[in-house]
Formats: sequence, C-alpha cells, structure tokens
Amino acid sequence: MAVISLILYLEEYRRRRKAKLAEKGFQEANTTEQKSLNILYRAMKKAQTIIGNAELEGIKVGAQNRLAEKKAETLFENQLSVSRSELEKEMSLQVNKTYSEYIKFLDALKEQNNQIQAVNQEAIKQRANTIFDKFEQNLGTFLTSTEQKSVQSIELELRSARQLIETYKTQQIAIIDENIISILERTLTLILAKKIPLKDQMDLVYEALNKAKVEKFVV
Amino acid sequence: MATDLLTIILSDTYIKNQAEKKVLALKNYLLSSLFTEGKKTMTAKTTADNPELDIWIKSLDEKIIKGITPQNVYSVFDKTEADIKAVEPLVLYLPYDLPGEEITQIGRMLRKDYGPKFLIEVTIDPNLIAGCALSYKGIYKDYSVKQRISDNKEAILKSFKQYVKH
Repeated sequence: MAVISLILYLEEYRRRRKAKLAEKGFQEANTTEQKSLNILYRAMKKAQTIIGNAELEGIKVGAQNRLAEKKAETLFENQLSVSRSELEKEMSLQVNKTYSEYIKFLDALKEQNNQIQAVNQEAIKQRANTIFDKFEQNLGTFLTSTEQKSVQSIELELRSARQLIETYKTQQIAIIDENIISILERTLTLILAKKIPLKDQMDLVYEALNKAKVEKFVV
Repeated sequence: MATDLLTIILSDTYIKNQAEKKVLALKNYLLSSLFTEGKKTMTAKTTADNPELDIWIKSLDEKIIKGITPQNVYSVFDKTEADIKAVEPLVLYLPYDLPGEEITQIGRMLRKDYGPKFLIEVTIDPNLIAGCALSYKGIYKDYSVKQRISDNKEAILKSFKQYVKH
C-alpha cells in the first residue's frame, strides 16, 4: 500500500514538474528533461525493484509468518496437549489427593463426631444420673419432710383432741361436782330450814360470832 | 339529856333500824304533845300503826320525858339521831328470821364484847342454809353452813364419789 502511494506520488510530481518546465521555457527543457527523465527512470526502476523486492520480501515474510504461525500452532497445540495432559494428570492427582484428604477429613470428622457424640452421651448420661440422683434425694427429703409434718400434724391433732376431751371431761366433772354441791346445798336448805332446831341455829350463830371475835373481824 | 335518851333507847334495842324507828316515834310523840296539846302527858297519841312502839313509849321514865322541853326537843333528837347514825352496825346475815328473844341475846352478847352502843342489822339470806354471815365496815365474812360446804367441797365430793363407785 505504501509502495502504491509512493508511485502515485512520484507520478504526480513528474507531471507537475513537466508542466512547470513547459511554462518556463522549452529551451532548457530538453536537457534537463532528459536528465530528469533519466533520474526519474532510474528512480522508477529502483522503485520497481524495491517494490518487487518488497513484494517478494512480503511474500517471503508472509510465508514465513504462515510457517511460523503453523509451527507455533503445532507447538502450541503440542504444548497445550502436554500441558493439558499434565494438568489433567496433576488435576487428577490433586483430585485424588483432595478426595483422599477429604475422605480422611471425613473419617477424622466422623471419628471426632463419634468421640463428641460419645462424650456428649456420657455427659448426658452423667447429667441425667445427677438429675435423677438429685431428684431422688429431693424426693426422699420431701417425702421424709412430708411424713414428719404429717406425723407432727397428726400428733398435734391428737394432742389437741386429747386436750379437748380432757378439758371437756374436766368441765363436765366440774359441772357434775357443782351440781352435786348445788343439790346438797338445795337439799340442806329445804330440810334444815324446817328441821334445824332453834338452839342449833343459835349455837351456830354464837360459834360464828366467837370466831369473828377471835379473828378480830370487828375492830 | 341527849346522852341519857340514847342510853335509854339502846338499853333494850340492839338493831339499828329499830333504834332509829324508836327515836323517830318518840320525837313525833313529843313534838305532838309539846306543840299541839300544850302539855306533856304519857296518854298522848303515839303511833297508830305500831303498837309495840306505843307500849315502849309508855314504858319510858316520866323524868326523861319531862326533861325534854320545846326549847331543846330539836337539838336533843338531832343529837340522838346523829349518834345512832354514826354507829357502824354489824350486819348479821341469817338464813331465816330469829325470834326477838334470840336477837336480844345476840345483842347482849355483842355489847359485852364491843361496848354498850354496839348495834346490829339483820338481813335474811336463805342460801346460807344455817349459821350466819357477817359484814362490818364493808367487809363480808361467811360463817354459814353453805360456806362450810364450799370450804369442804373436795372432801365432800371425794366421799360422795367413793360412795358412788361402791
């Protein structure tokens, strides 16, 4: 493309130069023109050579490029194949290793889980045993306390009932005693009021007055 | 004069309210005879509702009656009433009323022990059964059979219960 542009440029330059020389004088034109044409001819020759070389070189370079490209492709493919193979191999190894580690990890995890589960079970068992022991102890204490309270309450009730019976008995006996005394007094009142001789009554009065005298009741 | 009158009244009177009644009856009699009839006479009207007092007034010594004049009658009786009122009587609680003779005996006996102006009051209390209770200056003392029963209640009940058991 650059060569074509250069050729077009030189052609245009030559046409304008020729026109310019035609205007200045035709005389000097023959020699100069001849020279110029020679120069131009050589330049064109050279340019064509250059162009040809360039084309050749371009073709050569293109071929080289295509060859190199092909080589590179082949090499790249080979490298890629190797790399892929290695990568696959490496990946396979890594996957196997990872899988193995993962399996180990899972086993370890399982083992750990089993251990934790066992520990938890043991802890739960101990906790349950402790709770049951404490519950049993509390229940025992509660039952003992309840029994004691019940016994105390019953004893208290019995004591109260006995006391009530005793009080009632005492009161009844006191009432009976009072009744006996009242009956005795009433009987004596009824009988003695009619039957006691005056002398006996006077003797009792004198006796009372003498007692009062001795006791210095009248001072 | 007032002392003589009091001595005369108390000579055969041992119950305080009887002494007061006698003083009042004598006073009424003398006031009536001194101020309405103008002269003293033992035949003047005494008390229509109590023949015993009439007899008593008529049995009094004429000298005593004559010693009381319209001038001193009020002072004599005021003094006599005050003297009787001042006497603190021994209250005698009896299960039933005693004849006057027995009361007189009791009065005499008490005067021997406590002086010539000693008076009693008699109150009937059938609950005492027999014997008597005394009260003097607000203090009560029971010497009756009822009190004896009360004092010996336990022993009586004990013997009674033994009898019941057997």
